[in-house]
Amino acid sequence: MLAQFTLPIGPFNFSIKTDNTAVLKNLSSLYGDYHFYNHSPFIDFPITITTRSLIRRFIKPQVDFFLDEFAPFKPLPKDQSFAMLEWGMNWCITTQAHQFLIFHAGTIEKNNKVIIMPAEQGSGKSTLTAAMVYSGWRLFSDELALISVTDELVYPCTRPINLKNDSINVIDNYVDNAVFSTIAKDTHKGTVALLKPPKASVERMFEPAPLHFIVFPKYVANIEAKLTPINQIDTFQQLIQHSFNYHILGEQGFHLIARLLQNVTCYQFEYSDFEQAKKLLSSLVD
Amino acid sequence: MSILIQVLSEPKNLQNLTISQWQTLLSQAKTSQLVGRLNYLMEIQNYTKPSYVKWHLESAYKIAEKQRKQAIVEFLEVPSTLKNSTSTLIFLKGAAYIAKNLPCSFGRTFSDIDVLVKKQELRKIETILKFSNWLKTNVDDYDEQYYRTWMHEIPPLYHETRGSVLDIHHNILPSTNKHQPSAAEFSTTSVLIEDIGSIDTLDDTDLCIHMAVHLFTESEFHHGLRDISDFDMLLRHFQKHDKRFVEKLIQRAQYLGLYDYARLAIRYSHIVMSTPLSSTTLESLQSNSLFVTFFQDFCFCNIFKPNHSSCRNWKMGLAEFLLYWRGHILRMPLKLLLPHLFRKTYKRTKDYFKQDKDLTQLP
Repeated sequence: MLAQFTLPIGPFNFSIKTDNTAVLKNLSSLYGDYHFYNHSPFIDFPITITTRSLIRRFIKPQVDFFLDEFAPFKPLPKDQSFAMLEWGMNWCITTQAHQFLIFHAGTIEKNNKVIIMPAEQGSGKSTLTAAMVYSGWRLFSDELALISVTDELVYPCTRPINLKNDSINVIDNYVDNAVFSTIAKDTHKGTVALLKPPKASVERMFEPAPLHFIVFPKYVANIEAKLTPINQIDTFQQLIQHSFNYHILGEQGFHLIARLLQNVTCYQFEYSDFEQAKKLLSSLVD
Repeated sequence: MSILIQVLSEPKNLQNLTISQWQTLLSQAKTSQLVGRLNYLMEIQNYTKPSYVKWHLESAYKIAEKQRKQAIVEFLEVPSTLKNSTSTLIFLKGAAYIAKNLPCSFGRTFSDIDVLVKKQELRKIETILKFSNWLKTNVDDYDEQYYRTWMHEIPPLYHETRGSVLDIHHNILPSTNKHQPSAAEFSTTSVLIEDIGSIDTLDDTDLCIHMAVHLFTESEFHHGLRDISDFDMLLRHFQKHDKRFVEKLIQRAQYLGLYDYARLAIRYSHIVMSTPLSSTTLESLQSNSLFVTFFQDFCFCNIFKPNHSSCRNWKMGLAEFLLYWRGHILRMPLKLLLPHLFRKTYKRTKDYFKQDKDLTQLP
């Protein structure tokens, strides 16, 4: 029997159908603060997480991710089902929501000023995002910066934060009463756990805000936190590398970035200590 | 009739749909790769797009526009790379629709750029392309051998930096096919592309015939509905400029010995997509045998549907099965077909059990 949940996440309506107990359990613990629909709105992304083949329910159990009726990925081992849901949701957005210019970036807001932190996989951007949003910043997303091509504002896509390997412990120690999903081991990204987003951020997930700073974060052990200004040309090049759909938006994307860069300040950001990081980032927006 | 076919055959039906109708329509259009086309149809009619569905339509259209730009880049790059090694270079299918700026090219996505060259120039062309960063796609030895011996095209190439995929044909149909139209008999026309120069494609009738030949020798119809909708849009467009277009098309197909394929395409375009046709044309489209007509009607009327749970039934499954065999039997004699299918089934089974390890493609 498939249970179905329909909920808005920022500008999108998702529906999640599943018979997977791990997904159900994690949905109820991490999505507890979300507002679920009790009628049927237009659903942007109808997702199903289930096991396609009967054999695979019993032998080396696997799960499949479907968007509509299409399975874009090969099945994954069952203990990764909730992580698969979250990865799959990212995939839905980045491959289809071209009303936004989308960057691979941690995105946070304070005093109506958004900072996006574009970075590679494994650079610690999710960890930094997690630490900031549990210290007074509002979570937009730990993975995706959605910048509207029409009003040029940044839109929240407030969802659980994806933490990997050592970061799980680091955040568990840093955040009081942090709520995590079940841990998936041996995924293609290592050990993965999802962190429940702050309630205050979830409640404000429909409020976009203007972009003020672009910060390229880098964790360097034992370093004093510092912001180094970088010029617009370098920022432009780096932004393109971190974009999911710049190549699709083409000219529109080019002009959008060009306009944004006239009003934002860009920094290279090296840090090791969260307290210093918090102080420095807050000094930008206060 | 599915809601997708209702709106494609009569775009007026795109107005005043309910939320749940849009939900089904969009889902059917996604599985059929026709979302971009819906956007195009709404734009030319100036219909208001409901806010909740607008970005879905426009995103699909943006992806198609990006591909259109990429194709236009290749209209410059491929001919200039090959200018000293080929006497003919004819753009086919999706690339041809773009070159000719045909209505069916707007919002239409495609996976590769098809070109037709002379077989005797193939070796030279391949060498030049290899040195111009066109690389071979991952094709195993058996498939490579199969392509080289039997097919009318070589394994696709992709460009290392631009990412375009190029499908090079040297004939119209595989050499094992019962009909062997000569590529040289197809008549070409030259189109001027803004800022690029002229390139060659097929002329209007032959473009339609080529498309019909390919569609009705297929054994798998993953894009069947999109293709028959393409054909419908081609006929509607050309008929607007020349009332006798379909007559000319039929005459030309008869001359090329490809009447059967043209007849099937026109017939099912009319039945499925309601392409307007004169009554004399309609009468002339009957097949001689009642049994054949019954078989074809069953198969094609059931295959040209969205491959979507709201439309799938046992008839569609049976049509898929029958057309799979029809396509293969048309393509090659049994003594080649059986070993080939055996080999493919074996490989697919092997791959199924290997797949656990391949998780790297997730974002």
